[in-house]
Order: sequence, then C-alpha cells, then structure tokens
Amino acid sequence: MMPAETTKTSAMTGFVARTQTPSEWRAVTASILTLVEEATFDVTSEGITFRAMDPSHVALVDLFWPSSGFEKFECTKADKFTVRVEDFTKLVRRAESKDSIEISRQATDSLVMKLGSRREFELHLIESNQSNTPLPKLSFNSKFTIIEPAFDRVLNDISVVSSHITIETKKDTITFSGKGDTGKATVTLDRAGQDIPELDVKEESKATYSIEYLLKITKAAGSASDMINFEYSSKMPLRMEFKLGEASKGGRIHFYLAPRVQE
Amino acid sequence: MGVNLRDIAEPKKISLEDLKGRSLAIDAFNTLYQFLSIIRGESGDLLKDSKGNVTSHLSGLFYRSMNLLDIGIKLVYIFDGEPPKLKHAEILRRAEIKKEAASLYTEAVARNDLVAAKRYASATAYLDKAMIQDSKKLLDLMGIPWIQAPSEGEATAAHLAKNGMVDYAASQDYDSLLFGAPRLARNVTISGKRKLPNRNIRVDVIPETVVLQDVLTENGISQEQLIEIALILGTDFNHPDFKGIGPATALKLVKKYGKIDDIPELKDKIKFDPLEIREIFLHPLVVTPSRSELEERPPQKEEIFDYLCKEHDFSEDRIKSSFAKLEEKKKVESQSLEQWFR
Repeated sequence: MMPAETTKTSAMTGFVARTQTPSEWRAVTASILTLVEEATFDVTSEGITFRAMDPSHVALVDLFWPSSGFEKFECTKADKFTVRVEDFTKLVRRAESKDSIEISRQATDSLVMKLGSRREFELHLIESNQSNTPLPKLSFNSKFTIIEPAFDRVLNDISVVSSHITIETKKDTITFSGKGDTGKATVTLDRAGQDIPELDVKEESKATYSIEYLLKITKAAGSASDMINFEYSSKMPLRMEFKLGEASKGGRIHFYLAPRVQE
Repeated sequence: MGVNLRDIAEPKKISLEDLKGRSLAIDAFNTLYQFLSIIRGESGDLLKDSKGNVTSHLSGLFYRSMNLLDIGIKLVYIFDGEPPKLKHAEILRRAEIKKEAASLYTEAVARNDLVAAKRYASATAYLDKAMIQDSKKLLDLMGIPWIQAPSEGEATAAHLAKNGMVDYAASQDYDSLLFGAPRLARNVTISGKRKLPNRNIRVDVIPETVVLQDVLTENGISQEQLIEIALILGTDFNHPDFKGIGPATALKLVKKYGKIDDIPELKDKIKFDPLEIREIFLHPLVVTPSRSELEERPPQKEEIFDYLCKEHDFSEDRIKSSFAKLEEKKKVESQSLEQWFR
C-alpha cells in the first residue's frame, strides 16, 4: 500500500508548460547556447526563469518567462531542472514552425517534451552544479529601441574593420563606430529614422563592446522579436532586452555585456 | 601511459579557441614528459643552456602556457605526489624501456644515424627532481597556480573538474575518465605540427575533448563498468595481457557479465587484485585546494627575465615579445561583469 501512495503523491509534483509555437524556445535555447553548456531552469507557479554567465563572466543571460506567456502552464511545486543545452536545443530544433512545444516533468529524472500532439521525447536530466548568479547593479543613462535587422546590419558593418563596437548616444543621434588595422567604419542613426523608434538620452553616453558577443546574441534571441531595447551608460555594461511572444504578457530575455577594458 | 580507451571514448576535435574562458587542471608530469620528449634538437638532443642544464621542460612550460593564457584559458598545474604502491611495477617497466632506449640512442649517435637517434632519444625522456622544482619555480614566477597532489595528479585534476572548480582535466591519458573527470581535454599543450614518433612524417596534433557522460551513455555503461573495461585492457596498475581482447570485446564482456571476476573466460587468469585497483579509481587520494589557491596572479616579469634569460640563456627578445602579446590582448579584452555585482 505504502509505495503506491508515495507514487501517487510524487506524481502530483511537477509541471507542464506549453507554448503554441516553437519560436520562444528556439530563441531561449539559442541564447543560452551562446553562453554555457549546461543550464538549470527554475520553475515555479509564476513561470520559468534562468540566469547564467559565460565562463569568462563577460556576458549574462537572464530569462524571465511568466506563466501568462504560455498557452498552458501548471506547476504544483517549485522545481528545477538541468539539461545539456546542446541536447535540449536539438530537441527544440526538431519542432516544425506550427508545432506546439510542451515540456513536463513528473518527479522523474527526465524531462518530457511533446512536439505537436504525436511526437514525444524524453530527455535525461543531469546533475546541477550551478551557483547563484547575481544581477549587476546598474543605472542606465541612455536608452533606445532599435529594430532587429537594423542592429544586425550595424554589427556586420562595424565588424568589417573591428572586433569591437563603440556606441555613442547624443540627444538625437546614435553613432556606432569601430576602427582597426584596415580602417574605420561609422554608422549614424537618428531619432527621425525608422530604425530607432525610441531614443531617450538622460546623459550622453559612450562605451565599447565586443562585437562577437553582440552578433551571437542578436542572431540567437533576435529570432523571436523584431525590436531590441538597449540600455547603457558610459564605460558601463549594456543591457539588451528581447521580448518573447506577445509584448504585454510574454517573457523576455535580458542580455548583459561588460564593456571593453580600454576605450 | 595509461589505459587506451580511444575506441570506446571517441574524442571530439576542437580548436584551442573553443576553450576560451574555460579552466583546465593540467596533469603536470604528463605534460612535462611530453615537453621532454618533443622539444628536442635535430639529433634528438634536449635543449640545454650554456652550463649544460636541460631547459626543454622550461621552454615548453613557458611558451605553451603563454599560448593558452593568450587565448584566455585559465590554468592550474597538478603535480604528482607519491604514486600508489601498485604503480611501482609500471614505474620499473618504464625505467627499463628508458634504459634500453638510452643505449640504443648512444649507439645511433655513435654511427651518426640521426633519424634513429632522434627516435630513441624521445623515449629516454626522464623527469628528475630538479626539473620538477624548476617547473614549480617558473609557474610561481608566471603567477600560474599549481597544486601538489598527494598521489596521482590526474586523480586530483579529475576531482577538481568533478567539483566544478575547473572545467576540464587536461592530460594525454584517458585515466582521467576512470578517476571520474566529467570532461577531459587532450593535446592542449602540444597542439600544432608534430613529427610522429618512429615515422618521418609531420601531422597536425589537434586538441580534442571527451565528455565522460557521453562515453557512458553511448556505450550503455556505468562509471564502474568503464573501470572494469580498463582493468581488462590494462592500466598503470595492472598489465593483464589477456590475449586478443581489445576495447570492443572488453566492452561486450563487461556488459554481459559485469565485473572482471565474473567473466568466465578471464576470471581464472587474473593475476592482480581488482578490488585494490577499483579502489584507486573510485576513491583516490586527492586534495581539495581553496579557491584562492587556484587564482592567477600577475607575472613577475623581471624575475622571469633573470631566471630564464640570465640563468638559462633564453632569448630575452622572445620572452619580452610574448609578454607584450599577452598584454596587448588583455587591453582589448572585455572586463568581467563581476565588479558591478558589489
């Protein structure tokens, strides 16, 4: 009698989370894949969160995905699960663009992923050796919203001459620039243009960042959102925000990046 | 030496840049032996300073470590302590091979056969106490942490990787996997063009990694079973010499029967104590360093010039330029987010 009882109770702990399309999970897994090999997700009745830095502690991804951002979300007891990101990503990639993705866990050491209604995978979870990652304490003097293809183009322009990009905001303009052995590149965007729906400069700011990190995250997280919210201050880390799904109730990925040592 | 698990633990080729930002616990003895056998002149003679001191190990340690630091890889070297008693037979066996190689080398030099001389020379590589002291001193000057293991260096390296204190155990030997290292990196300190021993061709030595969990999953075995397979194939602690049993057969037998002493065709031929060897791999003697012991410190450049250039005749220009290169790299690097956590 006892074992049956135990099984029944434990079957009630766990969670189910379903999204209508694979686009959010694609962006989430691709973003995490740019940073770490193993990822621990926290699941509570509020939703799913994840936070980690890359091994050199230059970049940080902070995922907040509220239950309202899912088509179906149930969580009876707070839970954590750790996966090899590459394996998890492979499963997500198996989804076709119209497939729903449902992940669930019923008190086992596996995660069940259903693609559409007929395809089911079981992914073995791994042991977590994750440590708690704090968030950097920052105040931002410059904010702007840039459309994703425009930012992608800027990055690719500057990367022709440099591995770093300097971002300078003035009241009505943003200047992206870089210089290297072969020459210089400058892209100026202004408030009136369509590429920058929003620009808010409390204080003129200028900082330099690695293009490699920015290209990777823009490609990964940008797939789910058309706009990127960008915040930074002079010689300080930047924060990029990518929305997941509908802006009002969906989740978001925050990406933090430390500036370059030398201006 | 160590067990050869390549057939069942296929490594994945990587580039050193893939390890950027990662940390390695490097098996120091294993690496220094590599330097002593590889870093040699045309006729196989070791690099020496004007006073006749061997400097191959220092050259390898300095330039190879700088190369890894340049990429942004964090290092800690792990030095062997007292070998387990069971390794004594293996140590004697190796000494015997070296003695033989040494006399073949002398003969080859005498008859002016440089190709043969070089071949035998690399097999004579011998790491003495002074070289170990030299190496520790150089690491101290370079600000690279090193740890004295109580016993096998690989065991402590695996222990650090297992506890998340480093990302990889780095060694040429697969034994790290037997000690439970979740990730093994090979060829990191010797990558580049290398002449194959005994053959006159040059090959690319490419860094590679092995993930323990993948090895276990792909073969459908447990960590304990992996150790049983190694016992059949032979480790540093036993030389079973079961005729005609390679990795594939060993895998099959272990999957079918479990432990080596339960395998009908082998159990009567075991001339060693499996229990004792299992114990070495499953519960090795290791040390847990503090976080601060694993931290990099700034290099003492003046002292390094004195030590390598004045004492051991290294080229000052070359040492200077490798520091300049590293500093240039540091300048354009991104800062760590950590300073904004406070």
